[in-house]
Amino acid sequence: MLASTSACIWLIDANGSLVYLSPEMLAWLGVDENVPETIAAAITPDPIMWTGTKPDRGHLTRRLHIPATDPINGQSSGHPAHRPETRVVTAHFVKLAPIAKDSDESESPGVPLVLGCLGEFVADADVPWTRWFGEQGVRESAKLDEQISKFRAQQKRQATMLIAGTSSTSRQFRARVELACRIRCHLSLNGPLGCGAAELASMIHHASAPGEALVCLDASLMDSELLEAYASPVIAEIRENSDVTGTLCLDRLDEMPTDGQTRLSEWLETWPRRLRLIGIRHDEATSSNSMIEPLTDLMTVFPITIPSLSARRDDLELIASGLVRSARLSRETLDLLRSYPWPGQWEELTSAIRFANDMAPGDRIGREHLPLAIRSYRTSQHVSAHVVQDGNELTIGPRPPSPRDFKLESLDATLREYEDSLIAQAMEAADGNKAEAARRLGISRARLLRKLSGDS
Amino acid sequence: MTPPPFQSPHAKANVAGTSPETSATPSVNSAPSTELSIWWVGSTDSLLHREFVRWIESPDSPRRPESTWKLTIADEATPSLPRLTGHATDTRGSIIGIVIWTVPENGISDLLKRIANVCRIKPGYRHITAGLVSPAEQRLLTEVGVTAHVQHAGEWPRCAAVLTCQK
Repeated sequence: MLASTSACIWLIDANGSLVYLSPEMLAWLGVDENVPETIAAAITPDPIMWTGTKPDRGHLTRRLHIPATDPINGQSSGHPAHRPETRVVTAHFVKLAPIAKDSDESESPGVPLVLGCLGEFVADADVPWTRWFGEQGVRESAKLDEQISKFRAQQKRQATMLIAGTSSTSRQFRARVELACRIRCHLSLNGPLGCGAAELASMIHHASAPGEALVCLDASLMDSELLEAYASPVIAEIRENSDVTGTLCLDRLDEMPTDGQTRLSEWLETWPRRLRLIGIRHDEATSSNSMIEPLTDLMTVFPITIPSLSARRDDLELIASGLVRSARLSRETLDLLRSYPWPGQWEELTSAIRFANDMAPGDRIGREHLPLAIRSYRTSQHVSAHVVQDGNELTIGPRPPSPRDFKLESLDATLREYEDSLIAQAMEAADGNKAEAARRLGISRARLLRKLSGDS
Repeated sequence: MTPPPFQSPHAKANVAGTSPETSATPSVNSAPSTELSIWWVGSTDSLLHREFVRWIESPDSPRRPESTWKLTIADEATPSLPRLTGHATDTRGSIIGIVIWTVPENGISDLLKRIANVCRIKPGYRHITAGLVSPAEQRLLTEVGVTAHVQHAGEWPRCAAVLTCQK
């Protein structure tokens, strides 16, 4: 019966061995009856796929990657230069109902066989996801909605704290962000690495274009091919539906490979209103790439500069208190948070507060609960001048030494230096008489001799 | 000269049937320091995992012949990732490691939660997801911090830049 069909089918036994391949399948694979192991493995489904397959009802659809074969001898070709492309096909597998066999047959009765057959290849873009995964095209949509809402709410909380503050820098920054939340336009977020731009971008996007599709990518990795693949959840939608809009949020935009920039710029030209770009650029970008002109122009539409935390010292108390929420920060901790330069910016601050929150046993966060790098930080004294104002007289002089300035390069070296000076004084007082000098130093002559010879 | 090994627990777990957490131990004492650490979270009994290991071991691998990569199989739903040492909270600079999450058959809601949590508490890692997801699901994955997604086993070579490119 199997031989009478002209389909590409094959049978797999319970041990995962191929027991039958139709002539059409052999021809399609380009092999004779001795199927190479690599091909056999490629067309045999993993046993794990059959575990917990109640929803599949004994049926599986899988994409197979058939290694290329040498057309001459039917073997898998090894050299990449001579190797045609690996073929990708969709296959369907069905577990055949076991049939009780006569007891004199060699195989045990009821052994299940798996029937495989080739199906039609469907590209990801053409897959009817909504039919497969439900109305919204996602599985467990209620649970997923809940998770993503929680995540977005958390990001919004973080972004709200990021823009908090009463200093003029913070007020200006907040005003820009609030304006961006009201209008949907191309946006450029500029700031140092770790400045919280991702949280801010998320908040602005969901406020300015609620419900609009968003894809966030690391632009420094996106050449045109990767960009095409990873931006497709937004781009494919825009291509197919004329009323759909979407946003691409690209971190490290100024480090994007040039071909990726060109592709992005083409899309933005094709759908100037429907595709929105949120570009994140960092001050410390080291790449030699520069942005092409159309993108540079777009990034001037609405730039927002995220100020560094060191420029917002006065707001740190408010921000940190907002981040800890239920706990209280000690005065000493707040002083330290203000004096620390925060090279890791917002990410470092939030990590430090989270760390301190975990470490603090009660509701009070002290200096000792902060990460070591922060609690061991000492402010360097940059001010070298000392200014004294006495009535109309202003005296500017060197800063008087303070006990806090005490610092030794090395205790051993300093002690050795002091000891050498005492020995020299004793030798001078004793007119070079070593026994007398030893008496004056209160040590034995032998010990003085050792010290003079450099052995301690 | 024999290039340093790709430290995969794959063979050990399969052959000896040991628990997958018997992760990559260098076979020689003189093995050079690890240049890239990769954590695999999820089932390893899949074409995705086999094809990934095959790709990393193959001549087409993005791994430089003189470098050692270590693949650790996480035996829990959330991997135990090391924190940055030294400047404990400053995550600027380089990628500490790669975490590859396999997509469960029933959906991504729990996966999303786990990835978001790891991104928040252990910053500095690059996250890749592997498995069948719809475009709508893929969008959500990028939003929580996933850098790259591999839809099927044949797509690993596309991720070469994600594995090798440092910040």
